[in-house]
Amino acid sequence: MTDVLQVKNINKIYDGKAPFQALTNVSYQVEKGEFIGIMGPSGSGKTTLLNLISTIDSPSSGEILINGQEPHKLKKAKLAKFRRKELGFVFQDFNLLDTLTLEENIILPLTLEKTDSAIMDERVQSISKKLGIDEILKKRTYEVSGGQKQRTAIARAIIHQPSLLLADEPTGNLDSKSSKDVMETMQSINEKDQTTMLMVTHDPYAASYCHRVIFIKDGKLYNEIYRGVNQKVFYQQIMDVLSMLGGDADDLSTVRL
Amino acid sequence: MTFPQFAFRNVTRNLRSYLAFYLSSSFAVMIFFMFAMFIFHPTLKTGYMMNKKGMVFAEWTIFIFSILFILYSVSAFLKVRKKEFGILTIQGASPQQIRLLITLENVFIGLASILTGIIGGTVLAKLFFTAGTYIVEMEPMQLYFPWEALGLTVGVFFGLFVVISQFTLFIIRTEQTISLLKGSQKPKKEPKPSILFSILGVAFLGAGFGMALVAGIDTGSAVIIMVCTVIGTYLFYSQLSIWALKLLKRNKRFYRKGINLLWVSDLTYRVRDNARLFFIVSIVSAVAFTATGTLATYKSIFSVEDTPYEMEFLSLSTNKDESEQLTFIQQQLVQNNIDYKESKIAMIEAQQGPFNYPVLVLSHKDWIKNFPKSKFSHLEKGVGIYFGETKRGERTILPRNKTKLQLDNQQMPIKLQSIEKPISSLSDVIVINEENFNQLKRKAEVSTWYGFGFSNWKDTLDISHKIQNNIVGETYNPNARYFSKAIGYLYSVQVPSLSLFIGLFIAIVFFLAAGSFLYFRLFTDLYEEREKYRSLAKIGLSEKEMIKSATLQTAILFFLPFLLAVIDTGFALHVLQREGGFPNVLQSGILTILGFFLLQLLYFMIIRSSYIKNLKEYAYRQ
Repeated sequence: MTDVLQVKNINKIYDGKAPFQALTNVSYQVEKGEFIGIMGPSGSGKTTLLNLISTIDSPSSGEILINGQEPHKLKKAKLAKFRRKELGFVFQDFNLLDTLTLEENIILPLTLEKTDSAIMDERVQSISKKLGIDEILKKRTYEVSGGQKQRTAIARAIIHQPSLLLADEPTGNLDSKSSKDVMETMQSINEKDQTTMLMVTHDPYAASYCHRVIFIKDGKLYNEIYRGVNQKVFYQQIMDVLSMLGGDADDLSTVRL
Repeated sequence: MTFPQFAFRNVTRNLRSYLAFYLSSSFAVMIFFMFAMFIFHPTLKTGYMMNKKGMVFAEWTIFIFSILFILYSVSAFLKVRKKEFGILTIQGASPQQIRLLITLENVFIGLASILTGIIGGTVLAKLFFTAGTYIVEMEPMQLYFPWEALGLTVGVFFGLFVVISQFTLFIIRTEQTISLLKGSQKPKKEPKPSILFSILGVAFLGAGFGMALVAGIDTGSAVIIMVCTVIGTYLFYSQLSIWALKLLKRNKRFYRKGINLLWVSDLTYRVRDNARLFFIVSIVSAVAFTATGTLATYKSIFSVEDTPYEMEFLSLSTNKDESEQLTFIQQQLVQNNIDYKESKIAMIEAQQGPFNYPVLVLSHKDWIKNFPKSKFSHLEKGVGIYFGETKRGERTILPRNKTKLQLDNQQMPIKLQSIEKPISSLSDVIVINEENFNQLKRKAEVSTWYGFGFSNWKDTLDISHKIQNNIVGETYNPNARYFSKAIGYLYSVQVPSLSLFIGLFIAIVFFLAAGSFLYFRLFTDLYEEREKYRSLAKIGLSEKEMIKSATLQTAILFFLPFLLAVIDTGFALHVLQREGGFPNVLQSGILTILGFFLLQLLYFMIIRSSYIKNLKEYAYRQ
C-alpha cells in the first residue's frame, strides 16, 4: 500500500522571548484509504500538527510528504493550488460563506479551478445525495442546522476528490445526534470512496470511528491504538488511554455511547 | 464606576472600533464648518456675494448629507455592537439605560469630532483661502475669527448627534434579546427585487432624463427633473441592481468561473447597504461635477478690457445735467483723495450701417492730445484708425478695412489704416482726419466725452457705484453713459472668479465627502472580509485570486457611482447648455469629469493598496 502522508522527524519551535517546542521528533505514516484520529490533551500539539500538514504553517525541521510531494517547498501561488487539489478541509466552525447557498459553497473549490459547469452539477448531485443534503442545496447557511452545515462542509472538502481530507474537531460544535450523523457520513465516504482522512478530535466517540488513533502528549507521540471489529470496545480502549494520558478531565467530553 | 464613566470607557477603550465613526463624523463637521466660515466671511458680505442664497442652499445640502451619512455610520456601527447590547440587556439594563448609554457615547464622540472638525476646518480653510484666491487672482481673503460659523456648527451638530442616538434605538428595541446576543453574526436574507419599484425606477429615470433632453426649462420643471433623477437613481441602485445581479447569476458559465462566484454573490448579499451608499455617493459626486463644470465655463466667458482711462463719462448733446454730473464725479474723486487727470473730448456718435454698432468719432488732433503712445502722427483725408474688438462673437467686424460713417442722410466712406485695441470701454472709437471731423460736425450734434485717469482704481468700487447711481440711475439714461473699471472688473472678473472659487470649493468638499463615505464603508466591512478571505485561503484561494477579487469589489464600489454621477452630470450640463446660455459647458464639463476621474483613480489606488495589504496580512500570515 502507498503512503498518502509521511511525517518524518517533525520539530516545531515557536520562537520568541520564551521559545517553545510545540512538537518533538514526530513521525508517522498514513496509508491510502486509512482513517486516522489524532487525540491528546489541550496544548499537546494536535492543532500545530494539523496546521503543518494542512500547509498553513511550516515545520522548524523534518519533512512532510503528501502523495510524494513536499508542499512546504512550493511557492505561495503553487501552494494554494496544491491545497485545493490535494487537500480537503473540514473545520470546527464550518467556515462556510454566508453569502452563498449550500450548493454554491460546495462547488466553490471547483469554480476556483474553472471546472465545467455541467461537471459541477453532476458532482454536486451525487455527493449531496450521498451526504443526505440534496433537499436543502438551495438554502442559505443560516437556514440549516449545524449538522447540515458540517455535512455541507464535508461535501465541499471532497468534491474535488482530494488525496487527503483533514478534519479539525468536526464534531466540536455539534450536539450528539448531529455528531453521530457527521461521523457516519465520514465513515461511509471513507469506506465507499477510499478517501484518506486525518481527524483531530477531543471527542472519544468521534475517534471511535477511526481505524487507528494516534495520541500525542507534550508534543511527542505517546501511543497509538488500532481498532478491532467492535466500535464499543475501541471506544473503551480510547477512554483507557485518555485516562492514562491524564490532562484535564474537562478535555474529555461526556460519555455518549 | 458611574454610568457616564462606563460610557466614556466604552469609547476610550474601544478606540479602534469607534475610530471610523469618529473620523467620518469629524469630516462631516469639518466640511460644514468650512462652508459656514465662507458664508459668514466679512469680505463676502460687502457686495461681492452675488448668490448668497445659493451658498446657503449648498450649506444645508451639506447638512442633509451629513445627517444621512452620520445616520448610516451610526447604524453600521451599532450593528457591530449588537452583542454588547444583548449582554447588557441580560444583565438587566433597561431600554432607557441603553438609550442613555448610546446618547452619552454619541455625545462624547460628537464633542470630539466637533472639536477635530473645527480645528481641521480652520487649518484647511486657511490653506484653501490662500490657494484659492491665488488661483482665481483675487485679493487674499482674510482668515477671521468666525463666531457665527462656530456657533452654527457646534449647535447644529451637537443637536444632530443627540437626536440621531434616539433614532438608533429603534434598531435595538425592536429586536429580541436573543437576536441581539447572536449579534452581527446573523446573516442577512437575500433581497428580492420588487417589480413595481423597478418599473417606477425606470420610469423616473426615463422621465428625468427625457425632460432634460426636450422639455422647456423653468424653475418648476427643473425641480421635477431633479426629483425624478434623484428618486430614479435610488431605485436604480436598490432594485435594478438586484435584477442585474440575478441575470449574472443565471448565466452559470459566467457565474461559476473562478472568482466570479465570490464577488457576484458578495454584491448580492450587500446590495441593500450598497444601494444607500451608491445613491449618496452618486448624487454628491454629480453635484460636485456640475458645480465645477458650470462655473468653469462661466469663468471663461468674460475678459477685462484694458483701456487708458479708469472712468469714462459720455454726455450726449441732449443731456441737460452735464455740468452737475461732472461736478459730482470730480467731487467724489476729490473727497476720496484721488489724484486724477481729466480729459475732455468732443465726439460724434455715428452709425455704421445695419450690421455694425454705432461708433464714436473724434479728430486726430484731440486724439494725439489726450491719448498717449500715438504711433500715427499724421492722418490723410478719408483715412481712419479704428479702436475696437475685431471679433464680436463669431463675426469679424469691418472685414475689408472699410467703413461708412452715416449721419442722418450724410454718408462718409472711410478707409481704415489700422484696427487697434479699444481705447474706450463705452464704445468703439474711430479717429479721423481734422477736415473730415469738421465736415461731420457741421451736421451733427456733438457729445462730450470725459476720461478720468488715476491709479489704484480697484479701491474705487464704492464711489463708482455712487457715480453710476447719480448719472445712470437704476437702469438706463438715454442722455449719458458711464463706465468705471472697478465696476467692470467686479462683473467681468471678480464675480465669475468668486463663483468659480466657490464652485471649486463645493466640488472639492463634496468630492471629499463621497470619498470619505467609501472609505468608511470599506473599513467597516474589513473585519468580516478578513474572516472570509481567511477561510477561503485555507481551502486554497491563492493570494493572486484574493487580490483580484478584492480589487474588483473595491473598483465596483468606487466607479459604479462615479459612472452614474457622470451620466447625471451629462444631462444636467445639457440642460444648462440648452437653456442656461452656457455655450461651452460640455467641453468644460468633460474636462472637469476627466480631472475628477484622475483624482478618483488616484484615491482608488491608494485605498485599494492599503485595504489589500490589510487583508493579506490577516488572511495569509503564517
